[in-house]
Amino acid sequence: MIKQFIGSAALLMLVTGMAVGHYLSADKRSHREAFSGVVAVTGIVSPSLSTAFYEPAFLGEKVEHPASPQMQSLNRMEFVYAE
Amino acid sequence: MLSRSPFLYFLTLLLFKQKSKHLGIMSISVVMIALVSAVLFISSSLQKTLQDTLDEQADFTVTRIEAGRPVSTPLAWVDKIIEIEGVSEVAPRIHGRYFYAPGEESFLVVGIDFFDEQGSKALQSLLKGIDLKQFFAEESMIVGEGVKDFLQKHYYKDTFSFKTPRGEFKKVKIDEVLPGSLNLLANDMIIMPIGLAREIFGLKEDEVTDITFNVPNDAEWDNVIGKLHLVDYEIRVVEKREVEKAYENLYNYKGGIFLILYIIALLTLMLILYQRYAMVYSHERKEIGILRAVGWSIRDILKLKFYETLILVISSFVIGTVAAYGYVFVLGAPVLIEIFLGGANLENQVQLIPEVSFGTLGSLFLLYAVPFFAAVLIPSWRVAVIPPKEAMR
Amino acid sequence: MNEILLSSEVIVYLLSEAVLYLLLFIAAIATLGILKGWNFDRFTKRQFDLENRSYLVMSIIFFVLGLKMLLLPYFAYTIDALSLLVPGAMCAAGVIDANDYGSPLLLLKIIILFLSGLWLGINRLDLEEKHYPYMKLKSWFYLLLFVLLSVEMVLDILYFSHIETTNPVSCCSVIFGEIGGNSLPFGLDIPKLLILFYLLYALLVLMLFTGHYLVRIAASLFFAMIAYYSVVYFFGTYIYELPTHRCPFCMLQAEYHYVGYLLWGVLFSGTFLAIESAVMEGIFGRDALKLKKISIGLLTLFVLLCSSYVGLYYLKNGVLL
Repeated sequence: MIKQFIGSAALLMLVTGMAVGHYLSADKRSHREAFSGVVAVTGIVSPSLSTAFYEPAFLGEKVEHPASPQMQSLNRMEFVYAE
Repeated sequence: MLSRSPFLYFLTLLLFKQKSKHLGIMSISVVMIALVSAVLFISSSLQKTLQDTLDEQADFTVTRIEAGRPVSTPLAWVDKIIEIEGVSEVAPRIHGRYFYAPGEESFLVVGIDFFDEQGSKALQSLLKGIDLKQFFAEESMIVGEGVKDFLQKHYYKDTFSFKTPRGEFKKVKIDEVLPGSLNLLANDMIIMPIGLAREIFGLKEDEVTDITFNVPNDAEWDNVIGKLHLVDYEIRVVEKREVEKAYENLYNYKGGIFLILYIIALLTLMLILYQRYAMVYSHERKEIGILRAVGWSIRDILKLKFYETLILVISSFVIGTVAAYGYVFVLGAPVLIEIFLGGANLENQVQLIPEVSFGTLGSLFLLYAVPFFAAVLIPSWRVAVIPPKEAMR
Repeated sequence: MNEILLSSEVIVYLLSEAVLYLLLFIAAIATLGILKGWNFDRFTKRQFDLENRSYLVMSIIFFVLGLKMLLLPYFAYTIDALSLLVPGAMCAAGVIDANDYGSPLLLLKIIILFLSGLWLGINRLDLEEKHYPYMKLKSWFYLLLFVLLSVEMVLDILYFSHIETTNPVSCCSVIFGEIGGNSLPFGLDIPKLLILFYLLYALLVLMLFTGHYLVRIAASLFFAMIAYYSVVYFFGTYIYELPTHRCPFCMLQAEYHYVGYLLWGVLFSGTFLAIESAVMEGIFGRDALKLKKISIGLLTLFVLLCSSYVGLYYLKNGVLL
């Protein structure tokens, strides 16, 4: 039983090690530079939200529900990113 | 040496001989941890990525407001803003959403002033090998990957025809495609010369969408805001600080509401754990009785149960978080990402930058381990204190 | 409901505290029962049940206190994370001062950890004996702890629900800096403070080998206090490499490699073990050589760690701040 125990502990260590390895080997810097490059060109920092045309697509933009301003609409992105 | 320890031997025996007892609980726990970790991983990755780009963003953005709605901003404001002391890098911008009626979809069109030295330099470093001369030879644009896929699907191979508000068609060549790794920011983006964008949105020569500028000395910020309101009464100022806070809240709102709902699930898990282990342990009475009879004390039994639980908690935690890590950062969090980025427009396949902090992992562990242990504590005590004589009867 | 309560760290923290409090509540009720009916000389079923029940109390407290030790750094981490949401706050110092509940809460948490460490010590003594001689004592002690823990729970909720995200708070340089008019106690200046710091360290190490238990406790407490001031007003500036930066919280952040957790943790546990050894030797007449050894080790580590920042800075730059 102890062998099984050590075996499964080793397996857990292995998957953790793989995740840590992936995390450490990920090329974060060039990604970050590329993102900064896009922002430098366009000046737009909001993520590319896949929203319907009449919905605000930038973070931080405030548009209230025209019929009931107090109510939170669930199916729109403001619900996700509201203040 | 390890295999000599009877305690460890018995512990592993308990775990592996009675796998089925723990398997159910393990799998529920793994699913619950994987779910909450995935949500926290996505939001912390998004947050980090966006915050890293904040340096590049302009300190202030101003637009004209008419009857509470943003409308096109007069270009004359640029000169007025330049006159305010402490202001630098004033840049008019034209951007907006272009609605493509047949597909009910829209793109974000951004007009760039390519003759601005900084802008063209930034573009050249973004897209290595772009030939700006050829770019200007005919009317062309740079599109994000999502836009490209969409246009291909609608048989626009090399060119796309925009319809201007005047009812004319404007044929624009697709010159370059932004790499897919930028999808998080640029999936639905179309970059084109500023004049072309003005034509497509039907803006007049003296109009722009908004104006951005920097104020390097942040002690001056409040002062500048005051002066801006003297430029025009219909001005709306968006500060970088507000945007920054919006990013911070991005994490909180989504994660927060999610966590509050998640607590309910967690309390249910506690209840299940409590009942399940009360039952499991009552079946173990005999074994415990034998252990007590051969000289184990109550504390030894409690210790055994504690380690048993600890191993369960740690292994399910590791499996759950690693699974969530793979799902989010290797597979790109299919389905779940739509909660964060929406799914009403172009399909967006993002590559999230791995971002896992000790704090996130600590929060996850506390969130899961505390209720787990708390629920198992009383059942294990109950079985540990049964007198051996009674247990074996 | 404000943004603070929706931040995931706060939710996790409050949930953990609430779950632990529930367990502590069960333990408190069980303790009341024990206090009412405990008589070791009796051979009734009731006495037997009570003995069993004491194991429940013990394992609950064991478990809860273990987690409380983790939750104190987590609390620091939580308020540090909140500093992004509270306007004006650069680190946890501003958030702690965001309302009147913050500082008492932090102080109470430290006191509770001290007292519960003592409880664990008494419990260990109790279990070594056959007759549970300290059962009454530790039960009363636990009830006292439980009162403090209840106050802590209430303060936790009050504190987190009363942080305003609209009013700006002061930043650490205002709270601890010269502008705030906040200076050293007893009219000390930096050289005197440092002399006192090293002298007290020497005194404390000496006292660990004498029989003056009260002096030892007093020396530990005084050392802890002077050490706090020395770190904030002198050693901290070398950690930050900035002569004007005085803050006990900023060093918890990643820029300084989280050294604050180590520094305060070592100071806390070293002082605690010194006091515990005095209690064990003075009140219970036990030998506490092991405690003393660990205590000296931790305190020395603390002093070396602090001094090494100054030394390294001098070696690198050739000047002192």
